Amino acid sequence: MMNKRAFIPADLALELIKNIRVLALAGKKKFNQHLVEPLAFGGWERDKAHLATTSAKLMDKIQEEIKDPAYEKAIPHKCKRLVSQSISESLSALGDSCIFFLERIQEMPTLANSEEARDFVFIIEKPLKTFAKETAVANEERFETSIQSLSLDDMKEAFDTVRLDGTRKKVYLEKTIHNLYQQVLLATKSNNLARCKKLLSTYILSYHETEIYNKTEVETLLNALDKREEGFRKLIWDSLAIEIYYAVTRGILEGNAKKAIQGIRKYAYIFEGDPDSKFYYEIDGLERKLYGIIQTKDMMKDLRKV
Amino acid sequence: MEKLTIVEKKSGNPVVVQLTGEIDAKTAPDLKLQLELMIGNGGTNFVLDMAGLTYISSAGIGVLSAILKFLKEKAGDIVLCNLTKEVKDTLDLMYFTKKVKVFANVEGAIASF
Repeated sequence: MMNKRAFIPADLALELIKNIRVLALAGKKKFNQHLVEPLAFGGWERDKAHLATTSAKLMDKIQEEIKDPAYEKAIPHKCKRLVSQSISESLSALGDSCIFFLERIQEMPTLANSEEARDFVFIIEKPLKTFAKETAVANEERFETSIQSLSLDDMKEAFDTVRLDGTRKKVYLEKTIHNLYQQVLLATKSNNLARCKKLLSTYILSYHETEIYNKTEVETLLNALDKREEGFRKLIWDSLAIEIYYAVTRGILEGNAKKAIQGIRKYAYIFEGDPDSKFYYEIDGLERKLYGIIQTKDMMKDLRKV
Repeated sequence: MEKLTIVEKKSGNPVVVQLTGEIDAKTAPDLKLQLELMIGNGGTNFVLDMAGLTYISSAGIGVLSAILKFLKEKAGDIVLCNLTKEVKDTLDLMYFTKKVKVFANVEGAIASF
């Protein structure tokens, strides 16, 4: 039996959000089994008679109240109430409410420390991780099947990196990267670490494979931010691994092998075989299937021309 | 699962390392450790003989990239030789062959230093 956590780390909250999003693609039965039932058995369900408003309205209200420090202590209880009442409302309302709660946990350390957040994660973490594990195993087979039927053109497209063939396109991309980078610097100066994390993640995820990605500057920024908040670097890399892995999982579940391949390659470029990165073994298993099929179908000579 | 065997065939400059088996997420950390030990023992230039290597994943390429970067900062280098078709294809696809020199045999690789 797992012990209740003393604090909910932001990367765990992000991972649970991604699990819920994938769970929503897996159908009603799985959603009930891995989210509704654990919460109901955990005593979080409220009777329909208690429903005074919809969960959507409640989320808007909480979002407003978060801006007012006077409500700070009431937020954990309100988030619990939101999740509790959404169980009886609908499956999508429950999914949205859980994600809302977890997103706020990521942003607010006081909420991440609260009894309600710790209880919530204690109830949902194990079933969601069990689901993720089951999905990972099934996905290797799904992935193998879907890339078997992928045409050479689709495979080429999946392997194509960002091409800077036209001057206009290059100038546009350079400008976009420059603007995004300036926003990261501004957020750093104003000590807005949550925004920094979001912008830096976007920058790394979107432009890591391009010629004009500024690796040295990203490292300098990460070092500075890590000094300001211990663990910032790990948090950002963990978040990136979670983002990419769930993009791959989603691609496989949706039958979009191209998206999955792009994710696998992105992961390889960003993490460069670091065994400490999250989902290292899962991605490696998928990569083996990918290269196996490419060799069997003798696609390598054509892909190398990409 | 096939294992990875790492044998130091020649010490000195360059160090010749024979790799046999597969480099994937499970075996890549061992490769990193062994190469770091050889660097710790004074190795700066390396010839990796890949004649017996049947598979390399990006985890393995990542290890080679990291070691290559470290060695270049110390005026060292890594060159590869005897690549099997499967391994060469993967290294090409990951653009790693643009970063390192590839030779047909060990003698040619040693002579390049």
